[in-house]
Amino acid sequence: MKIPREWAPLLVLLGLTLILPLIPFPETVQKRLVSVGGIVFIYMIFALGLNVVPGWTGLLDLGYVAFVMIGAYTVAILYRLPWLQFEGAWLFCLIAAGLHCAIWGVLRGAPTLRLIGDYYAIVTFAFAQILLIFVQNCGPVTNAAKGYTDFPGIRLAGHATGVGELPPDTTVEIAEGGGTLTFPRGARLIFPRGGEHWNPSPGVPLDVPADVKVWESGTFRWRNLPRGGSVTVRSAGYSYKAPGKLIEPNSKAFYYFLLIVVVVAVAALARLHNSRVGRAWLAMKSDEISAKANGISIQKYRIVAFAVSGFIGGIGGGLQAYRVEIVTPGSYDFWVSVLILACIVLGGLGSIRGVIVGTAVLVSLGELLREGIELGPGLSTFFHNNLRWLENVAWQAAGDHAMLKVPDQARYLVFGAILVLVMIFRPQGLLPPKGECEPLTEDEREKLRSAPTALFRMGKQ
Amino acid sequence: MKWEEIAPQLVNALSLGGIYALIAVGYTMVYGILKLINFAHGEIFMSGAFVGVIALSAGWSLIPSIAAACAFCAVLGVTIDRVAYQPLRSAPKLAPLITALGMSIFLQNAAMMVWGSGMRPFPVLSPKYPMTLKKAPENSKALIDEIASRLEKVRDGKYDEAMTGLFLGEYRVAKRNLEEERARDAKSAELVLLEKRLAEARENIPRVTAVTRIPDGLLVEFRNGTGDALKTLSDVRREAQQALKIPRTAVEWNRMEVRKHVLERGFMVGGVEVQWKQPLIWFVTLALMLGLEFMIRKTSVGRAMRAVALDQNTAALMGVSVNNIIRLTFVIGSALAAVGGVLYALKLGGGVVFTMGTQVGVIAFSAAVLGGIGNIRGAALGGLLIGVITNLAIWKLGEWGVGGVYGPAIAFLVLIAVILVRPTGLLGSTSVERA
Repeated sequence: MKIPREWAPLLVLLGLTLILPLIPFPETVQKRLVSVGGIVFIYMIFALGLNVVPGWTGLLDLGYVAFVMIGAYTVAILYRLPWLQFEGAWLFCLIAAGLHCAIWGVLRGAPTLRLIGDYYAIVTFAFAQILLIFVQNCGPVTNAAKGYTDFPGIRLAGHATGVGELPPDTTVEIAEGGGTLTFPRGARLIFPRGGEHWNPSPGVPLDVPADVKVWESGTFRWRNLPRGGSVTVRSAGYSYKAPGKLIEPNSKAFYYFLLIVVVVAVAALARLHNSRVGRAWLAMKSDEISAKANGISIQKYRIVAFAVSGFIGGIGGGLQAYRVEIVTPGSYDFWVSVLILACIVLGGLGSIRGVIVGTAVLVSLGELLREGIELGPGLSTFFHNNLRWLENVAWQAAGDHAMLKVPDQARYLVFGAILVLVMIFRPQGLLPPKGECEPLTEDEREKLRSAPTALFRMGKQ
Repeated sequence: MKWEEIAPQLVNALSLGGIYALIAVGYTMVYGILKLINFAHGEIFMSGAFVGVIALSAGWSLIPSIAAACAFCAVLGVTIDRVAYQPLRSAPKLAPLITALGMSIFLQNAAMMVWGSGMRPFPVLSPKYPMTLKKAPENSKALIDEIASRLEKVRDGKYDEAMTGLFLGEYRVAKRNLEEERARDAKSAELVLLEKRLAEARENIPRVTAVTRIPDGLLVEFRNGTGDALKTLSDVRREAQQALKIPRTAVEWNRMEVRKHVLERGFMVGGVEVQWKQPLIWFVTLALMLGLEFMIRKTSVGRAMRAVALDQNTAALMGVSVNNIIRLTFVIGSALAAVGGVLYALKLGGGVVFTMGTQVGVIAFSAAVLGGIGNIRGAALGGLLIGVITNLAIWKLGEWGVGGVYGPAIAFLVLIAVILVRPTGLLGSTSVERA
């Protein structure tokens, strides 16, 4: 298969990300690279999903965070269900989250199918806001403002979670191999012979040892189980086996796993973009009237776009939930939508390469600036002496050093400025889509009205 | 449902609806002419409220404050158009929508950085505190003179002369901290911060605007902060008593009471108390709406605006300066939003915060869509309806124990319902916004 030339930057980037965790940096640097890399990959998935609608069909989506939220909550709620504890349940939950979001994507877009794009923008915004209000206040479904904090990560093998609801006087039994348990207040532990950790006598209930964390009453989980160790919990109505291997959220394994997801998403979307569906979107975006005249059902293809966009958002949201292990409404506000939109606008609306590069630049820079970059002594003096007026806006004093660190609000200020400046000075973004017809400007439309032969032109002259 | 219960809700709903209408007009006018949802309009409203509150806190009265807010917002609106929309007049439709969103985000965060992230309290409109003696010592005249002279020093900003003890709360603490730091290290980086704190504390001291003699006492007028003003008053009184060596028990003061500003006072209609500020809001809204309607229908500028909304090219051929008309649209829309902002702050009375633009802006936009976007009468009608619907819904939901948190959601649900059932809105034209 011949690889088109414009994919070259992406392949270089892929190569870089492949070897990045293998370069022998100092351990702290490496850890941070892997963790920032994970965040960037997650946002790439979001950006790829968002791009389908504004980039390819030309409708502005202002509430993409809704899918991220629905995906995360779907995973969080499904993954703990007692009857969903089987091997590979995480994948089932993830795909369920994607499909759930696809349905909501269609439902959300449905009222505006026959209308001009402005209505879609406002409905998406309203939908995300309503959803957030609902999630924050509807305790029985979403655990209200608390959300789900004892969220189990992805386990590749064995049983899914080991999280369940138990009555307070449950007897918990640990089989051979031992392990560390976190369990509810009031629970009693019975250890068989050979238990590694506290070496208790079999059948004798134990008090809570000091190093065991007592979680909220009613839920329990175990942590730091030795790989391959087995734990059985028996209680009325429940029987759990050992949780399998956990992919640690900040591990290299998770990094590569996310990288694979991004590559798969890019490949699938590139394929889709070059299919009948992708060409229909392109025609719609360029000129709806001529698309209609050519027999393209605007509504049908819009529905497809909404579903695809929602599906990817749900997958991304689910993965993010697995990664951060916390699902609270606070992390799904309007600003997430803005960040994702800024990524695709900066990179180039409608261009997969652009979306990837834009996200890589903006998200990694944002993450680094949020955590802070320490400056050397020379720059520090310069900042202290000459840039005092920017203190606590663009940098902070840390002892003698200066630290490049930007508070959240200043970052959002920059995102807003990026949206305006890119649109005015380089509306096609950093890496614009190549070889496709671009939407006509009003002036060009005006010209075409007097020359009805050419309906749209190919590429920019 | 009893009249006594529903009437206060309606009174509230009408003034809220009027304010929504004022903001919705800005959305609808810009949409009518540029076919653009001006997301930054909510931020213009927020800036108007801030400028108004700042002017009021500085001691300006209501009308100059509103005028200042209008002027600021008019300039802001035209600047936004010049920077973010004008370069994109002929670009594909997605581009100006994105710059509008970017502008809104930029302004909101800029406002946070300039005006702070906390709530800026709405000043009490010149409250008066009559303070009279109940049990007077022999030298009561001297005491009253002393208090009056100290209050006059507070009025003139000479806080250090007015008081010697650790009074005036934060101001004193900030000043002492600064002096200690200066004595310790004249060039420390802390100094800048402490100086800033002192300046802030100075800002927060309640402003005395007038001190008048009344029989057996004083009538003091303050500009802001009811609670702080009362505290300052009792601080000054105690200092004066100590300075004259009059024991605390020798004097007894009548309870200090607040004479509310006329707008905060209420009158009774049919067994329901209505604050004067409510009819003020109704009147201002109605007058502005009628004025706008007159301008659009009867004047040549209005005719030019309608022409530009209909067809920019033809209007330009007929000698209308399209760009000037667009600028005028932004001026009018932004000024109305500024009035809305100040009235909103006046109505709530609590204060203004930098996120209010998005919250209120989106509700006002829903109002514009409900009435039929692009239609000014529609915006007025939609604003009133949304005000009534959200207010009554929040009230009823509160009664059912669901809670008022779903308030904004109701406006959005109305919006989605309108888009589903009648996208052109109640008064919208039949030239449907179809794709």
